[in-house]
Formats: sequence, structure tokens, C-alpha cells
Amino acid sequence: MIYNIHFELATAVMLLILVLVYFIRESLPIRSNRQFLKTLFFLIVDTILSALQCYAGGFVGKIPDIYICVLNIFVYLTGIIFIVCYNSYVLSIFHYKKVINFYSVINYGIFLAAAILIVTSPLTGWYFYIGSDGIIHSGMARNIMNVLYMMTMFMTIAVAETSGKKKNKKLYRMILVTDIIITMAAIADNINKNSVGITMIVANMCTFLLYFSMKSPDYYLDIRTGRFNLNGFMEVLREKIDYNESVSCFLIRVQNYHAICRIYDEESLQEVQRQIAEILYYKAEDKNIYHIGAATFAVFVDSTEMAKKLYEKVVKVMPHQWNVKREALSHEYSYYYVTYPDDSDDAEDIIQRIHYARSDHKGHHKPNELIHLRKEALEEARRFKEVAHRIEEAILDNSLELNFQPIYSFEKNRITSLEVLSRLKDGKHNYINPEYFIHVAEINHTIIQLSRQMFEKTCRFAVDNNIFDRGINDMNINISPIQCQDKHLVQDLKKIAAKYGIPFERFHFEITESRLTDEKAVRETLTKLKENGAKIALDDFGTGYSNIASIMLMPIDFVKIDKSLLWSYASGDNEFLNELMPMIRGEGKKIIAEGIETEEHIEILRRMGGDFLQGYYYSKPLNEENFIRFLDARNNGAEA
Amino acid sequence: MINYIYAYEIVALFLIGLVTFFYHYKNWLPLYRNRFFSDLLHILLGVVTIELVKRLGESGLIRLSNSVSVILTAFSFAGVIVASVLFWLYYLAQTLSLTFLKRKVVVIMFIPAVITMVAVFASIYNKKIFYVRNGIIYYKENSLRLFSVVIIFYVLSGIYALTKTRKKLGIKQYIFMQTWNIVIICFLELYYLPKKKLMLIYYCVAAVIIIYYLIRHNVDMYIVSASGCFSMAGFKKVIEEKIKYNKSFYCISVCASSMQNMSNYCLEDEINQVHAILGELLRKFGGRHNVYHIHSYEYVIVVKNKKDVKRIYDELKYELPGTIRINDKNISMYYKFYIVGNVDSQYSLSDFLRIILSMKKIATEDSLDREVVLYDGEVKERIERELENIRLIRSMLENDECKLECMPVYDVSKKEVNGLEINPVIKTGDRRISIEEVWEMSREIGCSRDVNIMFLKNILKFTKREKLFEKGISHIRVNVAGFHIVSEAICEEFMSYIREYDVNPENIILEVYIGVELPEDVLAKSIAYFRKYGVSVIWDHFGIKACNLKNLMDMPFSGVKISHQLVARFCSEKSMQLIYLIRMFKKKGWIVCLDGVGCQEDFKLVTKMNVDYVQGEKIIEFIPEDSIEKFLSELAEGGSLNDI
Repeated sequence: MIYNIHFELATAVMLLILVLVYFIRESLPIRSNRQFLKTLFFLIVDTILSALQCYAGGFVGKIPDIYICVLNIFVYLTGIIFIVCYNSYVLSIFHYKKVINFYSVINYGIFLAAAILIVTSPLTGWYFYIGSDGIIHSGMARNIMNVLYMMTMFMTIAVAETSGKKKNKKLYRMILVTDIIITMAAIADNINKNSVGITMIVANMCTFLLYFSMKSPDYYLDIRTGRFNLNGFMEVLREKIDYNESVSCFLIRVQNYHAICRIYDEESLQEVQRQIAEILYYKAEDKNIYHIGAATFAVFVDSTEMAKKLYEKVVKVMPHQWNVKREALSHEYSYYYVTYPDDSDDAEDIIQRIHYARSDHKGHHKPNELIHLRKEALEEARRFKEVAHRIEEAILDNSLELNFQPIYSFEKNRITSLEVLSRLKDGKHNYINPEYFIHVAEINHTIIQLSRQMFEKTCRFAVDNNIFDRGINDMNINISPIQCQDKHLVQDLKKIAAKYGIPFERFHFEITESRLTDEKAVRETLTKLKENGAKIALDDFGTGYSNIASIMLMPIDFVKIDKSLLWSYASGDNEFLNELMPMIRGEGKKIIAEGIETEEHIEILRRMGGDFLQGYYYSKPLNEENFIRFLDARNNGAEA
Repeated sequence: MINYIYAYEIVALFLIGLVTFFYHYKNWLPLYRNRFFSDLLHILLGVVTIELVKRLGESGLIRLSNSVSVILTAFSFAGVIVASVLFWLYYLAQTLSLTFLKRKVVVIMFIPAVITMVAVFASIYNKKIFYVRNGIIYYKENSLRLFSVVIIFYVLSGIYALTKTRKKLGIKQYIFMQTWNIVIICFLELYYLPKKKLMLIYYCVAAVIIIYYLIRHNVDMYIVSASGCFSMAGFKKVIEEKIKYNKSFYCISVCASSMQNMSNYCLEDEINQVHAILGELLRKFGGRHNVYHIHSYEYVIVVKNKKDVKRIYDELKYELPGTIRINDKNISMYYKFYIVGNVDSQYSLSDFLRIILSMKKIATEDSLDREVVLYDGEVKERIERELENIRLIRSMLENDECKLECMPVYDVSKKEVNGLEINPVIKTGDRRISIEEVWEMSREIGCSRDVNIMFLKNILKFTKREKLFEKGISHIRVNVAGFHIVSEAICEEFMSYIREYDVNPENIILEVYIGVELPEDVLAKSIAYFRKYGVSVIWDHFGIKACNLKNLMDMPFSGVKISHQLVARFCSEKSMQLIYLIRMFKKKGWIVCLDGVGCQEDFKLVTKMNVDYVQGEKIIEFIPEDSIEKFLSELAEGGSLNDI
């Protein structure tokens, strides 16, 4: 038995070191951590008492029975308290909310019964008794209770995993393994009663195993500021939500942080982050501060009112200029708050809003304003992301729809061209505004795949319907400035056209300039397209970035006047088309007018010298079948 | 007989084994100190195992022949010596002092270890340190003392290294490490010196190992759990060490650009699954120690040379999945790559991180799916230029001043120069930065308001100081970007400075450059606000950039300045284009100014075109602020306008 004492002392000292380190490192304020600490504490106490019990075993007859009894009562009671703590710890890591149910009645019933049996044992001898040889022996009840203890451990993990809100298979497996090892040790002890007791030692070693396999407190710490990080924040938030605790989350974010990072020294930035955390800590009255992004800090408060109060306090003292290492660092801040369950009772929704606040979104927020992260605040971002997702789905499913709008030629007095337009549906099967989804696709660079799909579908449409035998000379198809960055674009398009046997000259590419335009790449690509026989049109002239300089500098053949100019001219709101049209013609470009809806529009264009007309007067964009029907009727009629 | 010491040694073995397993299982940052710690763990694991086997042999629980006992003892001693040397090297690495090993004098440091090692192995034959008889190992006390001296020599060397660089470590770390060093020395002494030895040295070492692992080497703080890769903090540590030791290295970054938008249609758990897949794949190609998840959608692989980085790019380009399927969702993946090298650590940590950020911006904004951007040539120049611009803006803001220059504006109706366009001169070396570039950059770094106010203050100060309006100048022109004035607060601030410097608002023309599309109703309000106080507002650079004709033509501008690009292109007798444009604006009653008139002929031509003002760098040059006095006095005398 002497070896048992040393084994137990050896592991107990190591566990003590673990507890000390646990105290030194800042631990996340969550239930499982508190429970873990309690479990560790009782395990150490139990181990020491167990060692004492062994030690006392060496002095049979020299120590009065009463002391032996008291010591054993303490050992066994501490043992069951340890198991209760361990079970509570397991429940807490799975965010199981304790309720009175079959499990709890059974679980606590066993421990209550065990406690009664232990305390009454000196009288009954059911749990343990002192034999005539002066040695402590296990009573019948102890053997039964040992089985029941193990049963509660397995029952607890089963309940925690199935009814707890947090799912973590890895951790579940680890605890299960630990429970099995301890059970096996207990069985081994029971089978071989005279050998060294190993259950306690195995339990201690399993504690190390469990501790090392779990996330250490460092995982939740941000090493730059010494505060808790995003992992810690999420852990606390999820726990609060899973336990239905009302909580308001207050966030402060340094604007343009990533750009700022390009200016200042790493150490200076770190120092500023530390100081922001310090100010927030002070103003939040010693609440835990979470550094949840390079530039975002968060605090949990109890209610919306407290979040607002905290904002009032913080906004007054947060400096806009930091003087660190002789550098003056200028900062602006955004403040946000969101409250559970007032704003949303869905954890994912709350988390999404917090991510929104953390991200580099392009909101029109004034600096230093407190922004309530309501659903509406995220609507724009949500819409953007939804459309981005739809685009990706369309690329994968090849599900982009095409519509075709006829283009009328003044010279030929018939429909000679068509414009290919893409259509995309949202989750509710409504069409998304094409301008918007093209804009999203440009930002995400998915426009390249989208346009390739569009081009291929157009070619297939042309071949399947013998479109060029039906009076169509060419097809206008949109090209994005982003596509122009693709060095293989022209070759790829030529390959697709060749695959369908369509001469490249049949294609007119309409380019719309945007803020994202890389002028050099656009010019080069357009030139290549022209060299290969295609023609180029400047789309939406008079809006956005399609400007007069583009007419001069880009190798274009057509200028497509935006409908807004024509309509405002027709309604007398502007007269500048009188000067613009001759100016464009003077540059040798042909004019396509969009938005032709009335005879008056046609007359205006005829007078001004337009070349091609497009608009609802002729037809709205039509699907493949209707367009062919329209074309046959129209051009056959014109010929007749 | 079983000795009680076994309990402690078995526990020590178990714990060192556990730490070794988790240290490798969780991965460790490729830092020297971690490498040494890992080696130390392996050596100690070996030594403690041998010690345990020896004891079991001595107690008779297992049978060991004399020769096996001798070899085990020799290896145990050798292991302890190697561990001591590693312990010293570990402290050198901790304090980033490994450059010490490059000195010639370092040979002396290894001599005791080599001599002891030779003595230990020689002892197999000459029995000077230990010998085995009937399965029992006997030690020569004096030799053993010498042995302990060698170990303590290395521990003390470690202590010295720590003391020398204690400021780098921080006081808490320093005290922590030194305390444990003293504990180790005490246990060493108690193990080797007294006749009745305290045999807990390995138990003590295990305790130290546990504490070091928990406090100093726990990798959790550098791991991103979703991807299993190292975090940005780990990346910085590794780069810092490489730079400290002047190591060349290359980074290839993989930006999963499609992940930026993933948070709306995927749950956090699904995003984490995508990261797990990516992380695993990247570790497969880059090596498990070399992959860093430095931003929500950006990964970096650090390798030693260019060849490796290119190989990894070639592999990843084809191997990274275009679609990831999670929970019945197809998630499209787009990747942008960039490669940055730091040959011989030519860049400091801060500079290197700045380059990384700039490269990320270029890769995500300007490159296509699976394309790579190299930090070389044009890209390198662009980034250096950008960083230089940023530094310049920062320094201007800190000093709250900038140099100015004036462009005289010719009044066609009065046939005289009576206006000045005053611009800040932003120069770095011989390179001049355009004001548009400064606006764009300052907007990006979040100080556009401060920059613009600083420009305005300096212009107003200059106007007042030079008494421009008393010397024949009727108006000054100040450039602003559209996004500067789309806020009521900023407009009010502008007006407050105009009042503060006591300048008549009617003498000021704000030239608004509309480089990006803006909320037009707000812009219209701001223009109206200035005009209400007498400040004229004109549309600058007409014809380029954002040009929403229908809406901008309806803005309450007082006039327009036609861009020099259009003027240069259309300014010829045969071309009617300019006349059409001028007529278009004149019909609206706007004042028309032509910019960039290039020569005398053009000047004469445009003055006949019903324009109000003309300016052009080639006909009337910019005047530096310190020459303005001379210019104005010449102007008063009717000169200084070249041949106009």
C-alpha cells in the first residue's frame, strides 16, 4: 500500500500544479471552467485523503477506530462529491440545462443514498466496516454503489450529448474514453482487492489526458492584448444563449483598420489595441473585454440600456489620436450593440450580426455613432450575399437564363441584331435586378464564369435556331471590364464560337465602364476582340462611368445612349442630346438608342441621326421561343 | 524490491509522454525554441524510460544482463548530457540569441559536453564513472560530481543567457524561468551530491516540463481550430524569428475570396468545415508546420526558397477544389494567390506585414481566379509607391502643413488673369503625387476628412498671408472630391474655416471632382449649401470618371471645367466636338472653363469658343507659393503671361 501513497501523492502534486497554472492563466467565465476547477479541487482533496487512508492502513491498532471511521467517511464523501462535480462538468460542457427529470432524480438519488449510507456506515456497516483485524473492509452497499457511480457517469454523458445544446463529437469521444478507462480501473480494483488501488491514480492521469486534449485557456486568449479572443467571445455568447440568459453585446470597431495597418508600426498598433481594451475595461466597470477581431472589441452587458450607457461613457473618452512612439495614430470608431433575445432569439442570427459588425462592410455609418444591429441594418449585406450565392449556384447548375431583345436598324428597316440579356432568380423565384447581380458578380469576379456560360448559351441558341438565317446579322453581348483582366478571354471566346461554327464577326461586345475598370486591360482586350473581327459598343453612355473620354480612348464602334438621356430629352428635361449626338457622330461612332418606347422616341432618333433602336416599342426582352416567334413575324412582315 | 521512487518516475514518464504526444499531435510553430523543446522532450522520454528499465532490472522485476545495464547506463548519462546542452540552446532560442552559435568561441561551450560524453562511453571499458556488478550499477562518487558540474554548467549558461536578455522576455517570464532553473539546480544537487540521494530529479523535470508546456509551449494560442493551421499571431512570431536570424523565406498566400460572402448562406459550422478541408489540403502540400491561417479567408504557406513556392503554387492551382459540398450545399470556391519573398530578410517585420496587406488587396481586387500575383516589377513598384504615399500623407497630417502652387486662370471676357487654382504640392523625391491619388489613398486609410481640411486651411492661410484679393485676384479655386462634401457636418466645417480666415466666400470656387458615384441627393444638398453662402461650386474634370450625365447635369453647379483630356483631343479648327460641349453647358447658364489648353494656337482658338475661363499648364505654368509675390507684381505690371 505504501506505493499507492506515493503514486497518489505524485499525481496529486502534478494536479496541484495544473490547478495553480489554471489560476494563473485567465480562464473564460463559463460554467464548464468553473465546474472543471471544482472537480479538480475535489479530486486533489480526495487523492490526498486517499493517500492518508492508505497511510493510516499502515498503523492498524495504533489509531483509534473513531478516527479511522471519520477519515473514511471524509474519503468516501469527497469521492462522491467529486463524481457529482464531474457529472456537472460533463453536463456544462455540453450546455445541458439542468431540469428535474428522470435523469436528475436517478442521478442525485444515487448520490444522496450513497451519502446516507456512508455517514451511517459506522452504525450499519453497509458501506464500510472495521474488521476484527482493525482493517477497513468494504460493505456490500459499497460494491453496489460503485457500480451505480459508474452508471451515473455513463448516463450523464449520454444525457449531456443527446439533450445538451452544444454538440462536440470529439469531446464526447474523449470523455467516453476517460469514463471507460476509469471504469476498467475500478473493475480491476474490485477484482484484485489486495493489490494496489489504482482507480484514483488512473482518474488523476485521465484528468491530465482530458485537460490536454481539451482547448487550453490559451485558446481563448488574444496574445496581443491579453484579453479573451473571438473563440472565447463565441463560447460565452453561445453559453448565454443556450442557457437563455438575456445579454446585450456592445462592440467597438476601429474603422479602416486594415488600411491603417499599412501605415503604422506593428508595436504601435499593438499598444493602441491594448489601450483601447484598457479604456473599455475601465469604462465597463471591470467586465471582461473580448478582442474579437484585429480592430473590434466586445463587452457583454445585461441589457440594451446598459449598452447605451456604456456607449455614452466610452464615446466621451475614446481618443481619436494616439501618440505612441512619436507616432500620431488617427482612429475613427464605430459602435454597435445587439441584444439577445430582444433583437433575435436565434443564436446564428445574433452571431451573423456580430460578424457583420466585425467585417469591412461598406455601410454609410457616421463615425462614433451607436448602431443598433437590427435586421434591417444587415439587409443590404444580406441581399448582396444572397445574390452572390445565387450567382454561384447558377454557375454550378448552369442555370443562368437568357432573354433576347431585338435591335432595329434604321438603314435596313428591320430587326438586324439582338441583345443577349441574362436573368437570375432569387430564392423566392423572383427575378433579381440584372444590374444588381452583374454588379455583385463583378465584385466577386464570378462574372467571368457567368459570362462564359452566357456566351456559350448564346452560341447554342444561335445555332439551334439558325438565327442568322432569320435576318439577324449580329448579336450584342455584354462584356464586363473584369473579364478584360482575363488574358485568355479572347481565345476562349473564339474557341466557343468556333465550336458552334459562328464567325466571330457576328458578335458585338457591349462594355460598360465601372469603377473597377482597369483601363489598360480593357483597352488591350477590346483591341484584341476587334482584331479578331468582333465589334465593340460602349454601353449605357451618359450614366455611371461611361463617359466622353471613353468614346475617344477606347476602340469602340458603337455608342449606346442610355435610355434615361432619351427619356429626359423627350420630356424636355434636358436638351444636351442635341449637342451630344452630333459630337458622337463626329467621332465616327454609330449610335444605338436604348429605351425606345414611343413613335416620338423614334422620330427624335431619326432627326438626330441614330443608327439602331432598341426598346419596348419593338419588344421587351423575350425568352428563346418567344423571340424566334417575334423575329419570324416581324422580319417576314417587313420583307412582305 | 520495488522502490517508492518508481511511483514518481512512472508518473514522470507518463506525463512527459503525454506532453510529447500532445505537443506533436497539436503541432508546434516552427520556431527554434519549439524545436529544441521537442528534442528535449524526446531525449527526456528516452532517459526516463531507460532509468525506469534500469531500476526494474536492479529490483529484479526484469532481468537485465550486465552488458545491457552498462549500455543503458551509458545512454542514460549521454542522454542527460545532450538534454543539458539542449536546455542551454533552448534558452538561447527563447531569447533570440542563437546568433551566438555563429561565434568561434562557442566551441568552448561544447567541450565539457564532448569530454563528458567521451568519458561516459569510455567508462564502459575503464569503469571510471560507473560499473555494473551482478546486475547492480555502481557509481564513482567523484566522477558523478564532475558529471553534475557539467550539467549545472549548461543550466547556468542558460541562466546567463536569460539574464543577459531579460528585458526582451519581460519581468514575469524572466522570474518564472529563473525560478524553475533554481528548482532544477536544487534537485540536481540533491540527486548527485548527498550520500542519501533524493531521487526525484526526473519527477522535478517532468513538473517543469508540464509547467513550461502549459505556460510557454501550449500551441493553442497559435492555432485556428477551424482549419487546424497556425494563426496570424503564430505567423508573426515565425516571421519575426526568421528576420532576426536573417533567413530567406518565401510566402505563398491563398485567398479563398469566395469565403468573404459565405457567412450569409452558410452557418458558422459549415464555414468551419470548409476551413477544415482547406487547412488539411494546404498542410498536405505545404507541410504541417508551414501553413498559417492569417485572416478569415486567407492562408499563407511559408517555405525556404523560390523553387518550393512555385512548386506549391503549381500544385495548389490544380488541386484546390472548385466546389466543396457540405450539408447538401455546393459551395463554389475561388482562389487568388500571391507570392512574396524576403530574401536575406531585407524587410523588417512591419514592412513585411505591410507588403502582405498590400499584396492581399491587389490579389483580391485585381487578379482572377487561381491567378498569382508576384511581388516583383510593377506590383512591387506600385506597393512601394503606395506605402510611400501613405507615409507622406501621414507626415503632412502630423505637421499640419503642405506646400502649395498656383495655376493662373485666364478670364476670357476680361482678357486677364484674375483667378488662381491653388493646389497642394505633394512630392516624394522627384515623384509628384496627384491630388486625386492623395484623396483616394487618404480615403482608404480613413483620414480623407483630415487631409482635405488640412489642404483647405493651408490654402486659406496662404490666401490671407499673400493678400491675393488685394493684388488683382478675383477668385481662388480649391479642389475637393465629391465624397469630401457628401456630409452636412463637413460642409459646415468648410464654411467655418472660410469664416475663420476671413475670406469672402464669393471669392472661392470649389472644384468638385466626381471620381466615384455618389448619393446624388446628398451631393445636390451640399452644393446648394455652399452656394447659399456665396461659394461657387463647379464640376471639375468633366468627361472622365463618373459621368452620370442625366443626374449631374441637374445638379446646382455654377459651372463646369472640361477635362484636359477632352480639350487636348478636340481642340482643333476642324473639330466641332468642343463647341458642342460648350454650347451644351452654356445653354444651362453654367460658367465654362477649359483645362489643359496646350499651346498659343489652341489658346487663341478656344478664346473664340464662348468659354469663360481658360487654363493650361503649358501656356501658363504653375507658380510655387514662394514665387507668388513676384508673379503678382509682374501681373500688375501687365507681364508674366508669356506671349498671351
